[in-house]
Amino acid sequence: MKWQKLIVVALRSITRNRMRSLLTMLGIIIGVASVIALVALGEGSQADITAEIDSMGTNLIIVVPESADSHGVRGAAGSSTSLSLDDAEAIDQQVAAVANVSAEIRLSEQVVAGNSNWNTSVQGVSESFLAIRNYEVVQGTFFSRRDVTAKAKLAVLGQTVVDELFAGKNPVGSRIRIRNVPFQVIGVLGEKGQNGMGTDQDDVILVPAPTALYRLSDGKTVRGILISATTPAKIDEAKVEVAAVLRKTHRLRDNQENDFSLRDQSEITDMASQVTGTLTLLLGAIAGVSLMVGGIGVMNIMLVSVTERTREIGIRLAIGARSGDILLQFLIEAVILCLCGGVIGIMAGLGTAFVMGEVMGTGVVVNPSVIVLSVGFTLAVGVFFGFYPARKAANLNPIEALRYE
Amino acid sequence: MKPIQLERICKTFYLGDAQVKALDNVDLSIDRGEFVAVIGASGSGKSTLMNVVGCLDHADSGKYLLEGQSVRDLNRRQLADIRNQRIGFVFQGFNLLARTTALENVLLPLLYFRGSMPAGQAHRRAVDALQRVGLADRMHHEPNQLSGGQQQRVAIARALVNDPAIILADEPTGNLDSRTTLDVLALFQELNDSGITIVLVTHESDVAEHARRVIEMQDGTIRKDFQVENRRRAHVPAMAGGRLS
Ligand SMILES: Nc1ncnc2c1ncn2[C@@H]1O[C@H](COP(=O)(O)OP(=O)(O)O)[C@@H](O)[C@H]1O
Ligand SMILES: [Mg+2]
Repeated sequence: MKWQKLIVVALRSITRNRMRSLLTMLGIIIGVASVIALVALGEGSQADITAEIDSMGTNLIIVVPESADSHGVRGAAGSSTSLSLDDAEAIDQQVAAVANVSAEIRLSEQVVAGNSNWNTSVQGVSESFLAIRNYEVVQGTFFSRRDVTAKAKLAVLGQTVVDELFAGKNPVGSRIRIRNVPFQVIGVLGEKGQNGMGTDQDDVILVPAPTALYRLSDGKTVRGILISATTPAKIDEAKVEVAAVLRKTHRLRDNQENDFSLRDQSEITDMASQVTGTLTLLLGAIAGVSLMVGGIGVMNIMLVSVTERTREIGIRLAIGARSGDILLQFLIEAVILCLCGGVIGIMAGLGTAFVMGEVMGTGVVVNPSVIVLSVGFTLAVGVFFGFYPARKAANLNPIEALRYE
Repeated sequence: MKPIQLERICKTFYLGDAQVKALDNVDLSIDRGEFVAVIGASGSGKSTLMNVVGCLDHADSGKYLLEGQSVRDLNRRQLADIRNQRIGFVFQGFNLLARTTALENVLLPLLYFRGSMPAGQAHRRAVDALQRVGLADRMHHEPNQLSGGQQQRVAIARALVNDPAIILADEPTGNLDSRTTLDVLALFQELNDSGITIVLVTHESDVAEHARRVIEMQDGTIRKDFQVENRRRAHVPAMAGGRLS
């Protein structure tokens, strides 16, 4: 008996009992839909995070202090500061593979303008910060290298701060007070919106790093040094050289470990995507289990269907169907059911993913290989869970099957 | 070569400790073109005999030659092909597929036909078979839209469609009233006249009187075997007049 004929027979059997067929497919539909939706959303948010990290700046390398007291190298006990403005300066002077360097000092301060006040994040940075972090100034100017060395009391405001302190009016030229120190506003940053953690990136005031360090703070707490390598290919070279410079300025002996650590953007991306990747895998596994349950549902209903159709099988055997024909018929039925369920599931899954993505504001990535994979998987589920019922049908004794009521 | 030749066929069923000799040393030979009625009390082994003859069941012992070929050496798959090609079955309960049109039911054996047959030819043969039983106009009806007699004629068309040498019918009129019984018997007689060998099980003697030869079974053995004198003819108004609805 030819394949096409068996497929026709199987299709007839499926359409003859539409409700049962639909119920049989339901488990598969739900399984596949959840796989597709979860993976699309998982990969979507992974792509979001990657894009966001990329937007932090190009060729970015971040130096952060490692707890110094464990090394006992410098500073009083309890101080965790191992980075200084001099370190940033040294890197800028000595490392060829580095394009821009900015120390970063972060303070949370109450800021007053006229009779408005606002709590915000005051960041001390150098004049290269804009280039490193892909920020731009939309009104006024940014401070210059000379302003930075002169510890000038100049400030550049994020849009949120402008809204809160100046009700959205152009603040350039106005005065604000941070810790009672007067600053002159010289510029406004372009809007960045929220980052992945939900922090408002526009709720910020940028001031020269030395000003922040010596006029607003204890003169020690440099949170980190932001570096951009000249090209992506130079990132590794730059890291090696930066480490060498810092070991020298920190006077570390050969047997001492680094009291700082270096991360480049790819590592940060990797870390983030590892987290989301694990999440995607986990969600995928849950969805896989539900697909498995769907497969068992198919087997269950196929078994019921074999019992229900015992007489039909008896008739077919009596008029000359080989048991192989019966086996194939039921197997093909199971596979068609699973495949149809799979296709419906894919559409439902994609629909769900797009709706959920819209609602949650995350991206959706349609990965063709996941779709191919789930089709393949449902095929396998159909064959695997269809085989036992099909074999049961094929091995029926025709006489007993005919007598079955 | 005789279509059916049984020698010392035995078939025993075991139910717990009890054993039932459903067929006990049955010798039987049936010639081409015969119309044999098998009668006997319920439980006398008629159905078992039909199942063995129809290659649905193996005998425990004895020899069965179907058109000269010993059936004992054949495997399940070869038996399936024999059922498909050489034997047509008609059952008491019609055994049509539900929610399937008469035409599709009749097409069923052709579906399992091993040779090559274009769909068009299969369709033509199915329509021919339905025409032969007088149901060409009911082709697209499903079993629940047909009367008992019509359903049985669809079943006969299905048995005919592969052009078998033998038709085996186990109590084909058991579920029919006397008028439709006559319709079906007329059909069998007509098919027999065209050369098909027919073996028909019944427990009604007036049905048996339509055959040429009667075999009476008792406790798994053949008790009587005789030719019918004064054979009855059932008339075929169905095909001539079309009072089928
Ligand atoms: N599958 C079976 N298992 C056990 N006993 C059976 C089976 N089939 C038939 N028999 C027994 O064999 C005997 C003959 O049965 P059967 O051929 O059906 O008789 P008939 O068709 O003449 O009424 C009966 O006693 C019946 O109970
Ligand atoms: Mg019987």
